Amino acid sequence: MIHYNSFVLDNGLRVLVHEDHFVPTVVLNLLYDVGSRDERPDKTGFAHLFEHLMFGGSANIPQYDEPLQRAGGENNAFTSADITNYYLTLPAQNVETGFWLESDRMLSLSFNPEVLEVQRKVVIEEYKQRYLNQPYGDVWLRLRPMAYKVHPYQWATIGRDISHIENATMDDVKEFFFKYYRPNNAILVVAGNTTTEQVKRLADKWFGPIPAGNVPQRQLPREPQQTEARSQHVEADVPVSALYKVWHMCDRLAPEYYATDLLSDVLGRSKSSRLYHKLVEEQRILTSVSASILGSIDNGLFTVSAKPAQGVSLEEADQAIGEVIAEVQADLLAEGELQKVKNQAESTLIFGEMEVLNRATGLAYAAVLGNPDLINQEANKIQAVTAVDIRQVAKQVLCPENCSTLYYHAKNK
Amino acid sequence: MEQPLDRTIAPQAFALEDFPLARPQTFILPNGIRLRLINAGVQPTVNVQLNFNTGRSAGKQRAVAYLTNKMLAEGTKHRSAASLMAAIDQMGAFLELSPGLDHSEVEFYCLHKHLRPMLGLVQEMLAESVFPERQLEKLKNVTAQGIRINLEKTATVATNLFRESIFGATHPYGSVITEQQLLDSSQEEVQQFYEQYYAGKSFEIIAAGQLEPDDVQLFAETLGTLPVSHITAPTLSGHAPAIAPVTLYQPKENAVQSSIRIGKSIALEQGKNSRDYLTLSLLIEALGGYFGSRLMQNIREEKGLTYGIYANLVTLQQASYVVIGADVKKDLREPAISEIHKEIAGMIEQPIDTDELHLVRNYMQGSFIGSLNTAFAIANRYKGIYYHGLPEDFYHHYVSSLNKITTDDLLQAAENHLKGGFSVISVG
Repeated sequence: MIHYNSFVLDNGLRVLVHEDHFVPTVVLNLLYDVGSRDERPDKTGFAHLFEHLMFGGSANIPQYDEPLQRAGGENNAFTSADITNYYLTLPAQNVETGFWLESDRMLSLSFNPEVLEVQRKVVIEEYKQRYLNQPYGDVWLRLRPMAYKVHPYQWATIGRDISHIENATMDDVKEFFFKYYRPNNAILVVAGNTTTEQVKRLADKWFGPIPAGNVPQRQLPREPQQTEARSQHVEADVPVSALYKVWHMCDRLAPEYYATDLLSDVLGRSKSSRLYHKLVEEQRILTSVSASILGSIDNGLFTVSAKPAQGVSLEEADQAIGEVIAEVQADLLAEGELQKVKNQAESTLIFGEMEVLNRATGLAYAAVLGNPDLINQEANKIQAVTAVDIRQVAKQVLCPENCSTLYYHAKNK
Repeated sequence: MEQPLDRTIAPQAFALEDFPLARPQTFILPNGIRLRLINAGVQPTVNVQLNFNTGRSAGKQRAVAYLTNKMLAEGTKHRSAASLMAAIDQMGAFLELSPGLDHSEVEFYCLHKHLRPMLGLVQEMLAESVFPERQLEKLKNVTAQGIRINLEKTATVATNLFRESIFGATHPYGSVITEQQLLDSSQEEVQQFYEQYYAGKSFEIIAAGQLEPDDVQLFAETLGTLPVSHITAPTLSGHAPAIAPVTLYQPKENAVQSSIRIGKSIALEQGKNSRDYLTLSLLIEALGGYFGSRLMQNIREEKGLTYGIYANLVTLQQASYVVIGADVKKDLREPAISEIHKEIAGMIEQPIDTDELHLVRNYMQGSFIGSLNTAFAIANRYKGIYYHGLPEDFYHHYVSSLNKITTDDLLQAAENHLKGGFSVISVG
């Protein structure tokens, strides 16, 4: 159970406080309700580029990192398709430094053109390092546009095309900032060795004076139902061929979300999972396989990825995976197997809540979903899933006409 | 009237003080095995690490050591690999097998309610592993495939070449497992390695989490019943061999970036002189250990040549080295290398000023304190202490020890350790 108090400032900033007096630190987690799904198709990668610019100095503070480090603090940030999340950790006695820094960059950035020029280059190197210079690095750059034809999840957070980053202008930056980086589009979680009273006082002082903005109502197109199987073959300079399959699944708040998550665990979470046990351990058709979900806020993707053993073709691997899937569509799980994936999920939840930072980020994410208490309801929702629910999802989601398959062939050398 | 808010002035930041780490309690199990227990945390979670003295090996023996450690979970006299995995998964527990350069580990994470059965399973794996041929074949194939994929990464190749350049390919710290060595390793060799280093052999335990002294009984009735004898794995003689620095560029046709590794072996008297270690840590931190470091500021934040660059001080049991690493824009590989050299030289030419010393020191102190918020993190600090033979209260005085380091100390350390002799490897 993660306890919290909450209040809202006049400018619309939602604030959550989670007290934990066992740790010597305080975490500030500031989530902005904007991600790559909010980008225009001709300006992709912008939410993420923006995250970099947020470290390049603000209205009254020329440098973000240095004063934080001087106060013994650390920070980082990430951007996803749905959110942009900034977090910092400070020794409890220096917590006000965090409020000062975060509020000033919410007030306004410095909009220094040199910062834009340098970070543009840094992001392009990041793009290369993560996606182009790694074996299989471009897989998601290919899978997303296969699966999504209408919804902006069709581009990766890094961007659809490097030229979008190259061509970003300072006007684009300013527009994006004043549109999305407003207190009424953000959630602040303060967690750790602090009190609600202290947080109220500091939030009022530092964030209170920042004016609210006109945040546009989000109107994203819904991805239409996929009606026929999609596939693509690519050849790449990799030593081993690989297979990737994605199926459309429900959104984050749908009632069948947890059944879908557990289904992916049944199929391919660990070595006792169906796919691994049958195809890696018993039949030796594959050398690796895993299944998981992309639990995005809008309708997500259920994914299976595998590497075939020597002498096994991608088509044979695909067919073998299909046979294992057919079993979970036909038969109900035994009680023991259902309990196993529930135990795994329970343990993952508890381990995940050990770090105060994870609790803070989890609360912010639950809040952006609509209710911070969702984080405390997860354990019960997982336990409530039945074998019938899982079979139902398997039938509904894992059918060929809902699937995109990427055959990633190793080039013959 | 209330003071108007002046956002240009930073709120007062307070100096940090020594932070009292939870102290481990030491117990000796009936068979003489030492258990160190760290009771901390509010979640019902447990981490148990078993540390085996498996020695240091090179060449094919290194592959055998790797396979033996990983094979511990591939079947016992009573259970198949699949049934072991099913039992662990049923508890939602996590088993990690880590064959290392100096020793090997068997480690698990579980909820406290599963501690007893997990200890039972580990006991069985240590006492009754059988190394089935079919499982060994699978492990060899999977591992070989992993090696093939990793060798496509410029970063992996650069790291391998770098370690080889400072230790030599036949030294345990410089040797890299090859696909061929793996495939050539036989079941007999694995069995033999197991008998020599695991079966009936002594090990050390660190357990952390929500643990009470009562839990010691659970260890006593499982791992404490294993008959063990102490072994001394062969040690290396003194420091790593003196090898002339290497400069090497290995092109890779379709790479869009080059991976750079620049570094050298360091003669550091570990344990005996922890102040030397701390001074050098601070120096390397200033060079490339954090976002505000000289390398990060120059090469990423000013020039935009890379997404990230770091400098690390790596301390193994019988050698230490410093390594700087980055993946940089391919056509700007040479300017990047020359900037790195400039930053290294800068540490020697001029003392770090007080302002920068305070910045990096405060950052290290805060980051240290921030890293101690789980029992597992505290256990890992103690692991480092035992591994390097540091005094047990080393981290109790960490904050104040850092405060004692002066700019002169840093200049001295830079002159002693960073003057010349760097290997420069780039791939891609």
